[in-house]
Amino acid sequence: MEIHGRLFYKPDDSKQKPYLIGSACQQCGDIHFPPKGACPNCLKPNTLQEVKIGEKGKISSFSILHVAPPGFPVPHVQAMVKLDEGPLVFSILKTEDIDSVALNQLVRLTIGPVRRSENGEEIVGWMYQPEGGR
Amino acid sequence: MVNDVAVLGIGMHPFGKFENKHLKDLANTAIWNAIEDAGIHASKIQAAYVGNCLGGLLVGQESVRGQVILRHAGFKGIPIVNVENACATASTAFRMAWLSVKSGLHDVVLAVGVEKMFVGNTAKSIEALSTATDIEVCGNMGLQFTSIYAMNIRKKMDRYGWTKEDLGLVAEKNSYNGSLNPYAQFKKPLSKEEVLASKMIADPITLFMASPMGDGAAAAIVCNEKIARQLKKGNPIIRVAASELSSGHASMLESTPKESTTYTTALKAYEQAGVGPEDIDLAEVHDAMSPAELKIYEELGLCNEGDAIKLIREGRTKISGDIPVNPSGGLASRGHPVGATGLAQIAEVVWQLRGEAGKRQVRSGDGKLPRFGLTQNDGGYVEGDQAASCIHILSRV
Ligand SMILES: [Zn+2]
Repeated sequence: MEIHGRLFYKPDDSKQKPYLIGSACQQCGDIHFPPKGACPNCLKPNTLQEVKIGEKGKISSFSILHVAPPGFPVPHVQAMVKLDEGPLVFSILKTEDIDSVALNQLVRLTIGPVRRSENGEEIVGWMYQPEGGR
Repeated sequence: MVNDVAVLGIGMHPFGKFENKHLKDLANTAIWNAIEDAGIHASKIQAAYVGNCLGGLLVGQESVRGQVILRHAGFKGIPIVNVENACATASTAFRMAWLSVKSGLHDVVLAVGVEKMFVGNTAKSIEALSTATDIEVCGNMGLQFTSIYAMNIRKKMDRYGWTKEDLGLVAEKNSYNGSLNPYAQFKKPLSKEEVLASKMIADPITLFMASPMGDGAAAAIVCNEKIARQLKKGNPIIRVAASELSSGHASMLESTPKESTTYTTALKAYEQAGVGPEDIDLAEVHDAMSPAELKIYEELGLCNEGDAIKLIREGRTKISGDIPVNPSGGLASRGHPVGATGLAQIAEVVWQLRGEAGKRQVRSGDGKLPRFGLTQNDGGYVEGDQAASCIHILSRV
C-alpha cells in the first residue's frame, strides 16, 4: 500500500478505499486532522498514532463560490465537513447538483483532481461527494 | 513595577488604491502624521515595531521591511522589530510597542502597520492572501477568506435566524459611516437593497459586503503615561487600558459565542481594563465581510447569544446608537490593507475618545464623549479558527 502524501491515501484500484491520514491519541482518544506532532489535550510526547479516517461525514456549512481562484470552475462549492471521527475538514464539494447542497447533508470521501495548476497539470486532493448523489 | 502606557499620537495614510506609491511612501505619511500628532521630536522615539504582512510575496521585500521603511522615514540606530501576524499584524505591532513601554524598557515607541496590495496583478494578491492558512492542508484547495466567512455566516443564519436583510443592514450602516471618513477607501453610502443586489461572490456574501484589496498605512506612538501627562498639561490622555493577544483554540464554525477565541480574549481584556462589555462606548471590529460584525457583537459580549440581529435591526450599533460599532466604516468600507488594519482601528478609537472624529463623532445621549473604546482584530485561519485574535481597550483619563 503506497501512501501518496502526508495527508491522504489515493488507492490505485477501485477495490481499495481512499482515506485521510489522521492522528489518534492513545491517552485521551482524540482524533486530529491534519495529523499532529503532539496531542493538544495531553501535551505529552509520543501519545499519537496514525489512523485512517474521513470516509464519511456531514456538511457543517458550505458556500457556493461565484468568484474563484485560477484553475477552479465557477461556480463551485466549498464546505466544512464534520467527519464521523470528529475533525472538521475543509473540502471542495464534488457535485453536479449545486442547488441541492444543504447543511447536515451526508457526504463521502473521494480523491481526485481538485484543480489544474498554471501549467495545466492536475493537482490531486481530497473532495467530498453527497451520499447517493453524483 | 509596570508603567501605565498612553497613546501619544496616531497617524494614517488614507486607505485605497495608490498605484504609484511604494510601501515606504505609505508608511512615511502615517509615521510623520503620528509624530506630528504626538507633538514630540522624532529623536525621542527609542524603538519601533513595523507590521507588514504581504510585502514578501507581493513586492519581494523580505527580512528587513521595517528597517527599509524606517530608513526611508529618516530613522537610524534604534532597535526595529519586524512584525507579521496575518490580518492582526498591526494590532500585534501596537501590542509589542505597548509591551516595551509597559515593561519599563522604553519610554517612547513607534508602531507602524503598512500594506501594498495593488501591485498590478489581482490573482497574485488574492493568492498571497490565501497563504494566511496552513498551506499544506488548504493551499491546493482554493480556500478563500470569502468562503470561510460565508460558511460561518450561513451557519449563523441557520442557527439564529439571521436573514439576508440583516446581512445587508450591516453593510448599509458601515458604508454610511465610511462615507463620513476622509481616510476610507469607499465613501459611497449604500442601501441594503444595493448591497444585496451586488454580485454574489461567495453565497451568501455579496461584493459590497466584502472588504476590498487596498494600499495604506497607520501608525501610533505610545509612551510612558508620565511623559504624556507632562506633554498634555492637564488635558485628557488616552490610556491603553488593556492589550490581549491569543491564538485560536476554538472552532469558528461550531463554537458558541462564549466558547469562541474572540470571547476568551475579550474576557481577559475586560479583566485587565477593570471594565465589562457594558462599559464599552464604541468598538472597531474585524468585519472582513461586514455581516461578520453580527457574530462579533455576541463574541465581545455586547449582547447575548442570538441577540445580534436585534442590535442591528434596532440601529443600536449606528453612530447615533447606544453601542456604536465600526464608526470608521469597518474593514469593508474604510478598507483592509491587511497589515495596516489593526492600527487604523486604534487610530479611529483614539480620534473618537478625543472628540476629533468629525462627522462620525460618537456621543452619548447627553452629549458626552465616549470614555472606553475597544478594537478587535483577527488574523489568519488555522485548524478551523482564527490564527490570531488581538483586542485592545483604550480609555480617556
Ligand atoms: Zn491526548
